[in-house]
Amino acid sequence: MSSGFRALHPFVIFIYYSGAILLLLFMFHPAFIVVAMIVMCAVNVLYDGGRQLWRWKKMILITSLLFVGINIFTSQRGSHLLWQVGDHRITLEATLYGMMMAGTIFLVLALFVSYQQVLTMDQFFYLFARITPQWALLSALAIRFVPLMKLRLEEIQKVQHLQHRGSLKSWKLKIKEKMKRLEVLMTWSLEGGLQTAESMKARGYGTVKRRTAYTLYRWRISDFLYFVFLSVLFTLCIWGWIHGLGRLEIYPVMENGALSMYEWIVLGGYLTYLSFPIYVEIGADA
Amino acid sequence: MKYSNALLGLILLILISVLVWMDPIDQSPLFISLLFVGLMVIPLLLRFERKQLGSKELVLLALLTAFAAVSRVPFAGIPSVQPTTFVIIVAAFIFGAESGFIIGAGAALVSNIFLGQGPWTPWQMVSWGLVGLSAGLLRQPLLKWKWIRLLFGFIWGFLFGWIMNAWVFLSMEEQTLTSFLAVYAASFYFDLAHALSNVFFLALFAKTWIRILERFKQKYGISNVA
Repeated sequence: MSSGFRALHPFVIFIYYSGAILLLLFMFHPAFIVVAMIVMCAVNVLYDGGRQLWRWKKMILITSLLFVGINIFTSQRGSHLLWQVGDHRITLEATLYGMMMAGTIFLVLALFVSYQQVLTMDQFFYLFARITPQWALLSALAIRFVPLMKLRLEEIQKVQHLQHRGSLKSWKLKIKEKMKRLEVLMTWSLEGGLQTAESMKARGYGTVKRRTAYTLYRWRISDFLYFVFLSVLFTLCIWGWIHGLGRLEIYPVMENGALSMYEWIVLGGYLTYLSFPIYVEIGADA
Repeated sequence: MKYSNALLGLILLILISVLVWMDPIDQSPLFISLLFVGLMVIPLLLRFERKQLGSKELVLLALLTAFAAVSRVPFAGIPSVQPTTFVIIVAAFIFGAESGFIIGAGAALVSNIFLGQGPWTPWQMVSWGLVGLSAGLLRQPLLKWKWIRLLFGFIWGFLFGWIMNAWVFLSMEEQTLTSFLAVYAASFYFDLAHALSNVFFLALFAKTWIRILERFKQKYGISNVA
């Protein structure tokens, strides 16, 4: 039995992630982004030592460079000159904006990596099977088929290697071989899958209007309290955002990056909201 | 079914009012672009939800969605070259526009679970969804001809990249003609590679794959999803 954040009611976990993604997209201030980056890394370390997140290092690097690069080369606005190449001005504003955008994209990615580790298929199903049963089943099936198909692909590849012993020379033959591999995979999977579907039907799929979920999740008082807690923090952050806190005005004139008193409060709320899994987890251990 | 109609109306109303309320896009460009995409995707998803599908149709859609996503795996090393678009076009050609949309949108969602979820996911859902939708709509007279099919694949190679560029452009701080051209020029070679690979796959493999899927449709008596 798991404990801590993962043991909470699926609805609370889901609310945490939906709120977190909105906040990550809304708050556009270097201090907020840096704080969020530290917290999101910590949340990822909490569950698997950050191993999954580390797998994305290359992609994150490329995307970040792309965003900073495009911004620097297309925008010359801003009064803080960093560098002058020919008659192209590289400004502090453009660089900062690109870095903040890259940071936000990293945050969204990191949040999803942790989401996939925390919310199990059972919990996902429990939440969505009532609202959109067909979509829930469709996505559950599709997500399950992917690892299966990857395994089958490897098997087919082994057979193909035996058939022609060694690697193929021309690129056209290589592509043809790959497409043949996919074709075999398609017929194999469709044949098996459709037979399963017939047996699903024989065992009564679609005869009952509403089905209950396999796993039962209890809604406890503590879940309600957590829910209220998260809602209050979220409202605080959104209230701040509406009043322009947590957003750095860069254009036309860059505002002073220093945080005002109210901004510190919003930053505190933001930090508390995002690090919710961390202290729930620590509290469960203690 | 009244209930889902009301739900659909409510969601659309909320999305539109949020869009109107936050008129300056630069307040949170990524969020606005997500909302915009949501406006396009949600009605189609709910429409699908209202159809009572049989087990075979449901499993078939799931299989083809997963398959379109997995088909990227053998070609992982080459950027922009992937048969996913091809698979979606072929599947929509056999099973219709709505199936095409679901397979396309689903393939984007599912493949990003393994390739990295981010602000680009909803845009990919829309792009690939529209590939399937249009292939299904045009299948009757037009896509029967091989040359039109090839042209269709070529056009979508570029169109896909152009839709994806939109979110890059929206998230830039300066939306001017120069930055617009810069983004679209930077993606040109990737789009070209995508377009040419679509043509290549459609030219060489479409006939066999259509025959296989047609056979499955007949053998298991799968009705048109839409």
